[in-house]
Amino acid sequence: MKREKINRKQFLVLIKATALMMVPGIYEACSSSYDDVPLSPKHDVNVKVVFSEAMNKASVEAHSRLVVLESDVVPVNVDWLTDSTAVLHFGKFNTDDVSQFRIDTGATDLEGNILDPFIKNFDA
Amino acid sequence: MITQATLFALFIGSVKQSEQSNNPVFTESITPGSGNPPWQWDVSNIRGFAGGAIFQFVSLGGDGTQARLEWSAIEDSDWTKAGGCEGIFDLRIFNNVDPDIIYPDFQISLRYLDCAGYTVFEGQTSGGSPLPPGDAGPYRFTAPLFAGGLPGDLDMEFDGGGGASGRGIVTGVTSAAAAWTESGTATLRIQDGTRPYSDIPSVPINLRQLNYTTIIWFDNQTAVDPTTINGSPSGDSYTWLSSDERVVISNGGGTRVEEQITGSGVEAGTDIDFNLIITDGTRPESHIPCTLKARHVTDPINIPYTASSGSETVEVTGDFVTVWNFGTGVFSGIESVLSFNGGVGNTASISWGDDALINDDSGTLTFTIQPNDASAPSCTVLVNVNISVTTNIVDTTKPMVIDCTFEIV
Repeated sequence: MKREKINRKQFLVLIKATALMMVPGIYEACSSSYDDVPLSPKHDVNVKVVFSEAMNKASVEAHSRLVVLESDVVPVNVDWLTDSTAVLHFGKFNTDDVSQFRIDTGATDLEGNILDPFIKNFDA
Repeated sequence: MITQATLFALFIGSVKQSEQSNNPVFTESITPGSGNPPWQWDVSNIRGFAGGAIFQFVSLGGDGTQARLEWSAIEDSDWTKAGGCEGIFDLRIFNNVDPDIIYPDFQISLRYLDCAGYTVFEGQTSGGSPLPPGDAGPYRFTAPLFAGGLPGDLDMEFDGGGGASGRGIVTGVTSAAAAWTESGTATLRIQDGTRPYSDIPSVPINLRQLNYTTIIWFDNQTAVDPTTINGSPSGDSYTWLSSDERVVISNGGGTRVEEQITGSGVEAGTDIDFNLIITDGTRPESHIPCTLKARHVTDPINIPYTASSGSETVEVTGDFVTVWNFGTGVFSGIESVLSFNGGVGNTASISWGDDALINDDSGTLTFTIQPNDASAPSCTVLVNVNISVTTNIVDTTKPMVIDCTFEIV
């Protein structure tokens, strides 16, 4: 059986932690506090957008926003499935905090025509 | 032979200001016999007066058929007696040769005006009476003479149409030369039936003018410029009343030279003719015909979310024919970038540029509005502005999003 060595510093920390766990009040307090805060379920939020025209990809990526807790979040990366279809990856969020996706003025097609500003609410 | 006379005095409350300045002249139609001495006039047995009033006739000379009535020591309480004072005395006309002419119970009526003068407004058509409450008259009032700084072409008309059925109410004031800020005095002439007239001299007269007699009241206004009298009151302050309870006059305090006039419970599109009733201290009221026009400005203004720049009309509802002057507008509580296009016209508009609107945004717009001919005070109107999402307008010249889905992993 392989025995792992622990150094002196690690040993002292272990002893202190064990001692504290033996005090009932502290143990229960720590346990109760831990149980009351469930982990927030976070999900990858992606938005698939189909445009009517082949788009200037950089302009779309630069002007796409996800509104989370009233703040704007820019895409982490974008997958272009075609010249007119993109999946924008914004990262992981609590979906309760996500309110809206929009593309602001500045996004253009390949001919430089300005995209109609677009807004879609998350719950729509 | 006239055997009656009415005498007038001017009071302010219980304080006498003056008595009539003219002495009535009476004529005896019977002449003395040829070669006989002229008539002498003798007053006796004066009664009906609380004080020690004295009356006498002074012959105008010649055969003594004309004499001027003089008096003294009339007590103030006799002048102001409720319902009027009716005194009498016995008049004997004699020359110790011809038979005496006796007029028993020659009646003297004492009357008074209770006012500090007149403040008259351009356009007034009626007003209050200077007579005390207990004196219904009627009398014939005229103002034959003006002095001081009053314009030379001034004419004051009184109720009764120049006849004997008036109570001293000013029903019209005309002058082409007036600036309506002048002050002076008038001789007020009052005649009781066919009795000799009475002249009250130096009655103070002030001419005044309102800057507006048309008021526009918007049911969604937050403020209105005041209606103003172009001169200070003769007393401590003016008082303002409306003949129509739907017209609301604020009491701004002070001398009340200006007041804000609004409406209450009046449907937009309604015109209300009313009288402004303005009183200057202890002077008779002035009734000035005015009009309140109740109107409405579009509220709320709903702006549909579109891709393009655009505008929404701000308009006044009602049967208006006025060209408005829309003043500066201020937006509040709204994040979208909007512009209020004021100026002169029947309508104004709110406009925005590309991508200036924010979805589900709302706030207010405050702006001033006044008839362009400045015929009514300027009002400040507040309207709500709402921006809402509608389907994007299809514009084939622009690229657009045709599908969008959230993918939650």
